[in-house]
Amino acid sequence: MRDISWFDPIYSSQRVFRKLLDCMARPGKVVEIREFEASAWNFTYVAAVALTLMDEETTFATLGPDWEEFASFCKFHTGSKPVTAEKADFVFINGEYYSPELEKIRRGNLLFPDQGATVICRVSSIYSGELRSDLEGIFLRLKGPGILGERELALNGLTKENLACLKKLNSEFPLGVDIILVSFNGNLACIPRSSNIRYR
Amino acid sequence: MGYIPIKGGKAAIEAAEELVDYFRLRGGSNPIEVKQIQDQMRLAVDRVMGEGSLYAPFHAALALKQAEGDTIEASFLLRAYRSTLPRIGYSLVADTREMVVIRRISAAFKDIPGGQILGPTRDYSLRLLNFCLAQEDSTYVKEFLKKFTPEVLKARTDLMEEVPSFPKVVDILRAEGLLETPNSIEEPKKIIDITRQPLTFPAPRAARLQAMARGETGGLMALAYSSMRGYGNIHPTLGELRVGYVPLRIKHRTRPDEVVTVGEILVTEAEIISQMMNADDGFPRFTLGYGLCFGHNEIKAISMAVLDRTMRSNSKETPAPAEDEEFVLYHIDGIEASGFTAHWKLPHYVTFQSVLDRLRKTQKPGIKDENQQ
Amino acid sequence: MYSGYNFAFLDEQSKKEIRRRILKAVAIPGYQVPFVSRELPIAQGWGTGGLQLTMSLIGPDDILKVIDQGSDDVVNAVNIRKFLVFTTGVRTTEDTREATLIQTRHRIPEEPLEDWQILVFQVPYPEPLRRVEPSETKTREMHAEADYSRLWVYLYEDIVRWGEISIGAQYPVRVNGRYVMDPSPIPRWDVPRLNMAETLFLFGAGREKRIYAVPPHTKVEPLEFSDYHFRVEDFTGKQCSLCGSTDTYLDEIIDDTTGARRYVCSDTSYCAKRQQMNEKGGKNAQGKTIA
Repeated sequence: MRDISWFDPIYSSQRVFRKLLDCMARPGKVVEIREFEASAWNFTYVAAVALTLMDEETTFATLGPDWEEFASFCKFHTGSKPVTAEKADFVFINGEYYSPELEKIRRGNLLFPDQGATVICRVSSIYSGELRSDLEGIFLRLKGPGILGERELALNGLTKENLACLKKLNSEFPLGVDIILVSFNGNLACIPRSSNIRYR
Repeated sequence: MGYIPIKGGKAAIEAAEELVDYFRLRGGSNPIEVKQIQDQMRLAVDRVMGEGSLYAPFHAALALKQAEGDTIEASFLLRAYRSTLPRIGYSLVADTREMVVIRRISAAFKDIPGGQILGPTRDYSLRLLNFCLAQEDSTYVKEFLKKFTPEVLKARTDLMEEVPSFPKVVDILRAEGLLETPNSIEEPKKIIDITRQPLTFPAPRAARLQAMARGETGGLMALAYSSMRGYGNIHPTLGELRVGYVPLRIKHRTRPDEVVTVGEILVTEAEIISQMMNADDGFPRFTLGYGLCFGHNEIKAISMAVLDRTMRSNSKETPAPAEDEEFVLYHIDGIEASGFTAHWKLPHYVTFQSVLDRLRKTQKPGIKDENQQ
Repeated sequence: MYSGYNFAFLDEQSKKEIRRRILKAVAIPGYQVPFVSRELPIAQGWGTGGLQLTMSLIGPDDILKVIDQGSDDVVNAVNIRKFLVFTTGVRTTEDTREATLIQTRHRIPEEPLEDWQILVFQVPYPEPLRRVEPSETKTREMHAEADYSRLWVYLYEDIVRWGEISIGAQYPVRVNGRYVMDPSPIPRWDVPRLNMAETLFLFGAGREKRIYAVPPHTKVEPLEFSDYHFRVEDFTGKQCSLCGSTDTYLDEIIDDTTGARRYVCSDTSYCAKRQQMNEKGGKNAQGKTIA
């Protein structure tokens, strides 16, 4: 079991949270976390987000393959309970792999829309502006609260299937899910349910 | 120099704090020992533990000393202290049938198995001010204890030989099929903790009981009283009131098959039996109202039991205040209520200025003052 | 931690819960997220909601400003600031342009805020519909269905009775075209500042246990009729007796001895800046040149 000595429960938490807040308040804004480079694990930055937000009062689900080690890590270090996708507060997905269970995750209800899940989506890279032509990816245009006019966001490692599914989950505001995108090297961006997404 | 909210705030606060100490000490009398409050003001201590939601007699007594006897202020101190304590775990369900009873009565029956034990109560005493208490001194205390303690010890030895049992009155009624059984009352698989999850409506019974267990005695009493007097339809009978010590147990941390007794707490428990209702099986039965609080606080436990029952009434058309669970649960917390009542003393001049602007605008020349006729 | 308490007083688990709620609040602008409020050494009703937000946001590098009624020096702001400094050791400032985190009661600072700043509001009554409906169950349903008809009727009846909308501070607004929100008891003067701003606004009600948010660049529209518009407070003919300002929100002061009225800026730090500028420019509050 990997240790968490690289993550300070008070100060790392606070720094990561402020970045998440900045991103959720300004959808599509790309922010870097670089302080955990010491650890050589592909899931380091997803773990940092999990350690910041999750505890025994929360539940989570992981969709698709490759999550086994992370899931045990999460359960052990945060105390969060693994449950099925339809019940989870936090849903972890790999951007490249589409799991039909994604369609069933919690969107909240009209009385308590805040019960909608938070999706933490692992992608290979996140950056603003135009897509780099040599890489396979999606180019998004976002509009809505937190964005003056429009914001452009480029992602590698997210399939159109996943994005279409997420868009559908968010098609009836205020119901929906809120997305945290995390790249392998520690770039962050968020897309709350309030954002209007166009992509190609 | 009067209080000017504009400048000198810091100095004013510091001076006010010093003045509070002065008002507490200026009489020049001997400082009250915390132990004296614990010993001789046990009912105030118990009330503060209940409303502070922390079973800690020394801390409650200290809070009372700091608050100069203001029980709401003391409960506030205790709650704030509670907030700083880490949560280590949860106890196993405590069974009050295991209670080491110091007082146990029933109004429903003249006599009950185990007997009516009056215990330490002022219920039947005449409320005459006892001026002798003003002359009480340590010699008197020593003499009294010298005389009384052997009687207590003898009674204890007698009991050791034949430990009395106190079966619950409600169990007796249930055995006869007269009282609703636990299955017909909601039993959530995982009990909500109102200090960890937000309260939403309709509230589960566990949430209602928890909110009342930490509720302010006077507030609970006023609402329960409204129901008893007629703003409600409950017609309660006190099935049983018991006061005593209940053991608390936890699972061992690393050897979960082992159960460890970590101590005991003094609680007051009231069970009221209320009017008939059709139970789930269609059969009419009595319904139960339950109240439990820290320490010896009978008014609170009885009020809780009455309100537990009134909040289950579910009258759809204009419920009486005690039957409206939102009304009850939102207004019984002493810390919330007193905090907000006190907050009116904070400066509100910006909002007041805004309201003045509106009034001046509406007092346009065309609108006559009613008095000017 | 030198104070004996955890950094920023709250335990990390409480902070996590509040942080989760803040993110949901930001994702659903204007919607009140229920949360479990912790008891603090400061009374409920005195800013515990705003305080819990600040405690969950603050880091050692933040620069903190705390105001009440626009002033840094009012007793309650002093008390809250003292508590936060005691449990975090952060630097504080009275200068709005320097603060990364501002906790406020009932006012928005006069100087425009930027995207690296966060404004945290203390809220006594989070529910804008409470003036027409006492039951939480019913108001939650009204928000769910975006049924604000009773509030519109209330405003209409106000106009019929008084010829004006009589709501002073705490004017209801519609956020992102969806949720009607209570902006906290800020004066109407400050309401336009919430609309399409650069800053993130967070609202905390401790006693009522609700958190809500207005993200930057979000529409915030006061409720009004096409023939009866929302109007800010009127300070025509009045100016601050200290700095001469005619474009800030003014507090009315009744003079100790004469009983006469004079006015001073509610935003005391901004007023102090203007006074300094006046002195440098050799002018007094009335704009007249001083020798």
